[in-house]
Amino acid sequence: MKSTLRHLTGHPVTRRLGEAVLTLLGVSVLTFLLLRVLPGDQITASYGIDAGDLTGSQLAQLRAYYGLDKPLAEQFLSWLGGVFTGNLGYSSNAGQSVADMTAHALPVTLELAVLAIVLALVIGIPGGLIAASRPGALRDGVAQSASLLVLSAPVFLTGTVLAGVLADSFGWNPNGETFAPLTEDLPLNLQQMLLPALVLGVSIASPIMQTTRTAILDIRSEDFIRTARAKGVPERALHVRHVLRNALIPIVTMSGLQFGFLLGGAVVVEQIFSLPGIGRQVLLGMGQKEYSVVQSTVLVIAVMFVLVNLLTDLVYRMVDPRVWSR
Amino acid sequence: MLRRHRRTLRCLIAAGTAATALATATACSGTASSRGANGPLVFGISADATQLLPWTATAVQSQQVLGQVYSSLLDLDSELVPVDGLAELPAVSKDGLSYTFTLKSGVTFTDGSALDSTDVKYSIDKILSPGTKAVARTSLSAVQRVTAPDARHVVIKLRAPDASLLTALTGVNTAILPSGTSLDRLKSKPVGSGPYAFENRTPNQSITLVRNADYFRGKPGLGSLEFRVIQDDASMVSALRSGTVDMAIFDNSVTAKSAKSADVTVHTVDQLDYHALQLRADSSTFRNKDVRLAVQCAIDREQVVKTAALGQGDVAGPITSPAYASDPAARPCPARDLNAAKKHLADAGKPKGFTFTAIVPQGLYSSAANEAQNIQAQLADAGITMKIETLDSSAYVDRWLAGTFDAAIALNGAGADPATTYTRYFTSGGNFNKVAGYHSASLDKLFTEGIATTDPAARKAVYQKISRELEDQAAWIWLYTGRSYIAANTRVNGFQPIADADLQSLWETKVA
Repeated sequence: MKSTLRHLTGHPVTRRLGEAVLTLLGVSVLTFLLLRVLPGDQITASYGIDAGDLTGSQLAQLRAYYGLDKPLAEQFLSWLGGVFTGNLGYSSNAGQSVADMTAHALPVTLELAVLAIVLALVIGIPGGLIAASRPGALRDGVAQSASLLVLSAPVFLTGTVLAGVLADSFGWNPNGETFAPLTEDLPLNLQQMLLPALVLGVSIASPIMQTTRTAILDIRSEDFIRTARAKGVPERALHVRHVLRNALIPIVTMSGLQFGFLLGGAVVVEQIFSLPGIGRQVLLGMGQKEYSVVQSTVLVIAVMFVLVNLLTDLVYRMVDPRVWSR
Repeated sequence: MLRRHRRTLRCLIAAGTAATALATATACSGTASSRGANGPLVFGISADATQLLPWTATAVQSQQVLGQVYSSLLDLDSELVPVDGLAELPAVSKDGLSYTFTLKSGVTFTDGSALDSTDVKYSIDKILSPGTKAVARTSLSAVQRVTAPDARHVVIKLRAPDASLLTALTGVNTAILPSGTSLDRLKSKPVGSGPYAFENRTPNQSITLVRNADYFRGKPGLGSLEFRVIQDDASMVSALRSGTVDMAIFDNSVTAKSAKSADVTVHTVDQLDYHALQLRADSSTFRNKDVRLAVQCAIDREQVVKTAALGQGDVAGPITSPAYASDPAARPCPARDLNAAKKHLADAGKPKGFTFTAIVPQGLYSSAANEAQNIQAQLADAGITMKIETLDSSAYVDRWLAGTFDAAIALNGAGADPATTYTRYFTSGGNFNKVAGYHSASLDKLFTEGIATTDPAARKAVYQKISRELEDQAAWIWLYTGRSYIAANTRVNGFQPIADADLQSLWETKVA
């Protein structure tokens, strides 16, 4: 029995799951405390300066309504208990449960993240391969300069300029329309996703390109490549089976990290292009000091991040079987 | 190397081309929605209208939306004078304590039920009930009781004469709600008697209203009206210029200017809201009147307007209501006078100047930081050091309400009646006196007199005295009133821009 338990707790999967639960708990506690440390609450956020006209008993009623009169520990445990029973809280401003809000916002962010990461891979990996094909040559210089330029241009600037120019020059501004969900109006939805995905995709393509270039160059100089070449492995097989495959690990790591950040909501891009995604949901919750909206949405984001990390680990193991043995 | 990875590259490039082709194809197919002459007119708003109960609506966006859904007993005309609304102007008893309102006949709510005196009595009683937490409760505090002798008449009895009552009965905060519908239901689905009926709301995205064909003033100009939430100013400008949004309001002249095009016209309107440097006279820093006057004399208000508002504003005194406006030239140091500032400092026993901190809001309005920096530079010339403490909007409101600051850069709301604007700040029992930090027996007396005086000329004289005391004491440093900018597509017609960017003529507006 003891040995089975030891085996289970020592198993990499169990260990990773344990770490994930601890991470989520840590994120929840930290979010909860940070929100309470910030000045202001939902009453002042809702009433503004007119909160000064409320009487003491009115304020007390409102504090009780929002659950702000309870001790901090009770507030946290009450929220956590709700999460375990599927109740993520209620937004009085949206007039919806946080679960419903998230059910609408998450697909938007997921769609944007998938489109952006696909674009980033489509641009970044070939770019890296081209740059690594002749280090120091013109193509390498052009690719690296383009990458640096993209890294230096913040997305709020490229997004705003791109949207402004297209609206001015062609009168084309699909993001000025009410957002169309993927399942309801595919053509309009794709138009509304095009610019934000492009802006995000290009900005993420840059680190992916750099990572690809460095990884390819590193692997090419490894002893085992020289050995394989000396053994007469054909060049094509050498590069596909040995160089590219081994270079995939840092590329997968970088892509996984970027995808995780995208799932956390590209707040600025969602804001500029009026996309009702999960990043905007957190931002609005913060502005309106709706604690349950922020806490629950941040928890959902953290879950997504943890899942993507687990998935990345899984892909490692597929790419490099040696990882299984660690 | 490149040649050897050709297959991989080919796949990736093919995927990229396919994605681009799909995106281009959808882009070229044009946007899905189309708008005809009957609407919808799309009105861009910078934040969602989250407060759908008019009595507790404090956010501008909520008031803009609800102003199209609800009606009040009275309205304001373009000169901000009370005029007929759901009722005609009332008959007032000789003692000024009884107001009899006659409701217009045949008025209905958008759910089809008749609007009568029962609804008016119910609404005012509810506004006065502390449990409702209505914003206008303080403005109606003189009301003793409301009676409904018959279906078309309502009598409001006052404890004491209140010359601001008629103004207090205008606007969405005193809207008339149906007595037969629960407030909880109205919080999610408003039912009013305004020009448009509430259709649906997608939180943080849009609110759609449809024409109320039975509106008591006539047929509204649009079949439907959509308020669309676009939070980013640059995105709002793009939406206006591309024609996906028809109208929007800006408070920043640069943003408004960038929205102008062959298809977009921008109307400039004056605001009643005033920008001020609030000094808390009961703080240890500003307890001495000469210290406050030194700050007053060291500031060139024209320079603040030119730098912070890019010249788009007018130097103003405390009272900005058109009928009672203060004369900015009547204050001590109407122009900057550094010698006078230094003399006041010497009189206060601080010839080398002093240091104080001003809280400055971030995100509440666009010119706050610029005002703070300009004032900081000007005061430095007089040896006064102003430290700037920038706070996010919620933190700022929290500190402001608690009165835990020496000075604050502020943009405060002002109404058509000076009593509602200032009584709560500068009377000893006012809810915001802790924020204002100044009161006096003479001001208490003058404010009481101002409320009780119904003769317009006599009332104006009272408020001039109030204005004079506030300026002479440098209770605050009043700076200027700014402008609002209403951008509208040229296909929009019939909209009359008026002071404070009020949308009262939106119901008559049509789209070509």
